[in-house]
Amino acid sequence: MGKVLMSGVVPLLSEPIAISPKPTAWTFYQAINADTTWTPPKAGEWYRVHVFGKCGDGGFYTQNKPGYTRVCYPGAAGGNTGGYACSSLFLIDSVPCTVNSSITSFGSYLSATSGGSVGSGTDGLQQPSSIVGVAVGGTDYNLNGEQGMSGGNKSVHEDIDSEGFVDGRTYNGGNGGSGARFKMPYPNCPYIDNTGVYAVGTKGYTYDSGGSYGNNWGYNGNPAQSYPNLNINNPILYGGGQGGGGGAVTSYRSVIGGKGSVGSPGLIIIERGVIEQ
Amino acid sequence: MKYAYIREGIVEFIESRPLIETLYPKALLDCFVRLTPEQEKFVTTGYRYDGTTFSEPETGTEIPNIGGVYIPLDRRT
Repeated sequence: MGKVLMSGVVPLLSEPIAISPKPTAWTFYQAINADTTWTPPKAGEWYRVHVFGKCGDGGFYTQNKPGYTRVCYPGAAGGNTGGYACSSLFLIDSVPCTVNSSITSFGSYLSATSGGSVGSGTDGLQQPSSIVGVAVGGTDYNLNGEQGMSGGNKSVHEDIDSEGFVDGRTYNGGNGGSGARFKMPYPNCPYIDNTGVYAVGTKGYTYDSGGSYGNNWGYNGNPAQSYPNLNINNPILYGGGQGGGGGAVTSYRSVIGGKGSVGSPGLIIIERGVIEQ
Repeated sequence: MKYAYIREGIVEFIESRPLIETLYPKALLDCFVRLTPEQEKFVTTGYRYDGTTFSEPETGTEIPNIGGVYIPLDRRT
């Protein structure tokens, strides 16, 4: 387990290491996305460690069952964000690292838990998980996660003709809910992009033109847009996955909702201090 | 010696590395429950925990919050 020193010198080493002043600027050194033991490239240096809990995945209705009449389903909710913790540490020894779908942890120093996923199934996916990520141990930042947005409601739109009669109906599933996005811990944090817009899954729909069924089979919900894949050498995280759209069913057979997208993965990012010339 | 990480009454993963106090901050250690040698044989991701007893969910049921479905240890390949 690494020793962290906030002041003084290390007394038990053969060559005591004086603690240098804490850097004021940092540069990316390494990202870690799996369990490992990390060894500082140089013992007795300052490192800034960012810990991100995995973000929850957007929801996905695996089956929208038909009924005797038009049946539409709401969209699935978006995923929650994981916690984010950050510490500046003067490190000497190796540190065990944990990165899985529940916890991201830099030894006993700092840790962030994951945000809840919405899951998949046939019911109860319109609301986001109640679990948001929690951050602990950060000396610089500890930001808890947030909930994703609920899925949209199903709807029926009636087309009225000039004489006031219903000329046709459009049956819609609901749109998916947006995933929660990571909060920017400080201006221009290079590892978070919460500015881009990523589409939720859109509604499936069917049109009933005045009583004769225009479509007897229904429509699947549309899938959500995915975030860009993680580049371990230039990591950028986004947030919780987007929810899938709800299907619209007429009769005879089931449809499926749109697939939700995957939330950003858990990650540890280690920075070294910038040496001023 | 193994520990189950539990959130909202659900086992989310099993920690089997030694020296758990070096792996996580103190504030998280309360979320880990030490398993008995007998429990180590069957408790896995997706199990329920009511504060005293572990119980097995139905095979194939969704695991809340982390996604995926429960598969018993002896049915995994």
